[in-house]
Amino acid sequence: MRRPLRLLALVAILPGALRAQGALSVQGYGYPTGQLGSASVALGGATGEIDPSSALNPAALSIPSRFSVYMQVQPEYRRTAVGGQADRSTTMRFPSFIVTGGNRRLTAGLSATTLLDRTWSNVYSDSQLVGGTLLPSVLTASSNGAITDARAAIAYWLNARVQVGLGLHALTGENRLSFGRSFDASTGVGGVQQLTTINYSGRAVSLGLIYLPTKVLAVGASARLGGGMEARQDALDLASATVPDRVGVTFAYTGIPNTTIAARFDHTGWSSMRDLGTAQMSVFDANDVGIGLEVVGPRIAGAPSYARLGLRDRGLPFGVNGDKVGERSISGGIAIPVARGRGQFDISLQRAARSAAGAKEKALFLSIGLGIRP
Amino acid sequence: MIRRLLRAPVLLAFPVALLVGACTERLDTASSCPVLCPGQTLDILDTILDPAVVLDTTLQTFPLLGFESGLLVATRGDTLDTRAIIRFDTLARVFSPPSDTARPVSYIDSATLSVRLAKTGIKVPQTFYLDAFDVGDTTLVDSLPTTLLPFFTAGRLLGSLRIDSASYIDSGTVRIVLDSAKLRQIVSTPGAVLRIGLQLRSTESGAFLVTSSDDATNGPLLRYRVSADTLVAAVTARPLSLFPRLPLNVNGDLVDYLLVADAPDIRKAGRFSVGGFPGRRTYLRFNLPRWMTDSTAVLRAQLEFVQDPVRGLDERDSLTIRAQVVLAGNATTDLNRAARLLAPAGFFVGDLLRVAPGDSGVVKLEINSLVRLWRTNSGAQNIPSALILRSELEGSSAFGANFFGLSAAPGLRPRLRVSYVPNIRFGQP
Repeated sequence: MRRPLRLLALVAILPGALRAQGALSVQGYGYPTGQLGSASVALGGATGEIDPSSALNPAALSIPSRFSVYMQVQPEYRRTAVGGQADRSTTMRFPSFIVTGGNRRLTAGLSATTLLDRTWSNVYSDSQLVGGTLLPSVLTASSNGAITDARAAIAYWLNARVQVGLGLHALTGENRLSFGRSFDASTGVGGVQQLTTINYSGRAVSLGLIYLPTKVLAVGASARLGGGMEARQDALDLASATVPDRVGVTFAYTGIPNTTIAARFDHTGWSSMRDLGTAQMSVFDANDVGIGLEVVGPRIAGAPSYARLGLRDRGLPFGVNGDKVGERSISGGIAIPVARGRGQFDISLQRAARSAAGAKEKALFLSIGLGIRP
Repeated sequence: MIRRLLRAPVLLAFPVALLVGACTERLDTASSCPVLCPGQTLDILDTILDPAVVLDTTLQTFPLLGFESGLLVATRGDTLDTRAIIRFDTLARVFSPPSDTARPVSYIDSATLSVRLAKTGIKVPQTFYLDAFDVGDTTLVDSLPTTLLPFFTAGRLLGSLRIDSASYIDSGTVRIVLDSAKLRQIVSTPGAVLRIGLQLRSTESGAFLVTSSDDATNGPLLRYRVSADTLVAAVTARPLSLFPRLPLNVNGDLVDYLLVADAPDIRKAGRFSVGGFPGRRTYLRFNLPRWMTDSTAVLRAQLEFVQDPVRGLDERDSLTIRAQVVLAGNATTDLNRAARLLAPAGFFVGDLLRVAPGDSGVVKLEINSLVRLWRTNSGAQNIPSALILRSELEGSSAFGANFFGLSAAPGLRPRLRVSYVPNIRFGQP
């Protein structure tokens, strides 16, 4: 128990989110983290619907292996190449925090997970025509913040084979945006800068099911039904749309001893957010397909460890100049118990490749999840 | 043991990930923009406001009498003649010999007036004289200094100093020996005052600046002996003015001041003037359109004037004109007063005009910070949008410049060339 507490204290004093920059993955309202726990990330998202550390299926809360507290850190190291030029950037994310508790058949949980992370910054030089004269100028643009999915959920064991769940979602968060253009002082031309805060609010409800038809097969499925969603710029209503509907299903096969093979399909209707952006914003519905393999490793401190491998293919919601951005990734990871099985580290690495509009992007995610069961 | 070895790096993974992420932060994005940075364009529009001003007027006299930073004594033939007046309205009329009682002054000797002269842009004449005249007469109206001109006669000459250019390089304190008999007569006459008028005399053009009494160290100083006994210290007196009695506190302003005997009048109809004698300022009031002051970001605002040449006195010499924002509110309807309630030079307007009086053509003044200052909220404005044009050597230089005003033809009147951003649409993707 002492060690996890020490780690928590250390986490608290370390710096917060870092900024990244404009890239394929942060178009529109930002990058969808997927709301997957580190274990599911390592498995290509394949166990997302049966993973209590992934805030997708509320029914998964009642799985016996759940942790009471789960937190995750997920830095992304990214390389974006356009026209022979490349940029490297880093984004630090804390995509999920989950607290759960249960009594007999009923389990309840609260979670805050990042739905869309819009954190980036870019500074570049160009020339602007001012009063008929072409003048060197520096443009600075940045965005900080995210849309967070805050969920209150309950799960219930109907019987040994069926678990159901219900989640109420409040989408909240803000983007703090800065945009400015400056000119050299010798030109006598003043600069401009605008600081803007866009706040978001939205509502949704999710329903989930976990069904164990046989001893070696588990099926998890969930659906999120989106309600209204609003964006406000400072005190003004900016736009309104609908929270994207989502539906997903996971099949997990455990017929091979100490091995789990899983696959997931997920569809999110991101286009329902179209009205939240301008006419220039291109937004697409997206499918997310993943398969994964998990094997049980040696026991450490009386609890099993795991090794994981996954493949994933998905579309990103926001495109570039009308082009849809696709993301393919390969991932792997391990799970190591600590504190005599009362805690567990899920560590995963994910290598993702994206492309659209003549630009290519490669990203490496290091995802570390810490689950604690006091 | 093996378990510990396995767990140790795992436990460090969480904080290490944070630290590694934090230390590799990168913000350079020049390569991926603008292709991957939609919505980051900025429309910069240009417009010309013509006429830019709704009111232009030339105001004088600046600085106010007695507030000159230096007193110009100049003789420029029949073009320019300025003199300095220095008041010594209290003089020591009693003194105490050593080990004796106080007694009235009846002896005056070795009277001198020390003043500091500084060279101006005018070449120092080969030989010139600095004449000191007795111009004291408290019966005259003090606010009309030109009434003192008749006192500059040989009969009222107190003293004269000849200076050769070879002995005068840049600046220095000179001592004019005064007529002790005339000073004794003033000292011995109850209520009489000593007011000295300084005039430059030369066959060539010349101009010097006399350091005013504002400078306690180098200001004018009167010195005279009141006893033949060398044990009795000489009396020194600094300028002091007791008149006018009313209004209160004005007397102190007139300790020393400039007397303009003759100066070219640069004013012309349809033009506004800056500089010259008496010192002139131009008051310009703007009425910028509300769409500009309410909801745009001004990047550049250039005020363009067309200069009308002033021929004659040093027309090729340079004159620096500054613009200062008027801080007087709408309640101040006296423009002459408003033209003195200004933000310090350099605030909001860093640019300046450097012109020669004889120049012609378009001159430009950058005032974008000023236009930003004049932003309005739903059209409401706390202070009028006005600025003052003033010469940097106001009150101590005869240089002046004329510019075509509001009533001139469209191509000649002041106009404002503005580059602005109508709005920034950044934020909503």
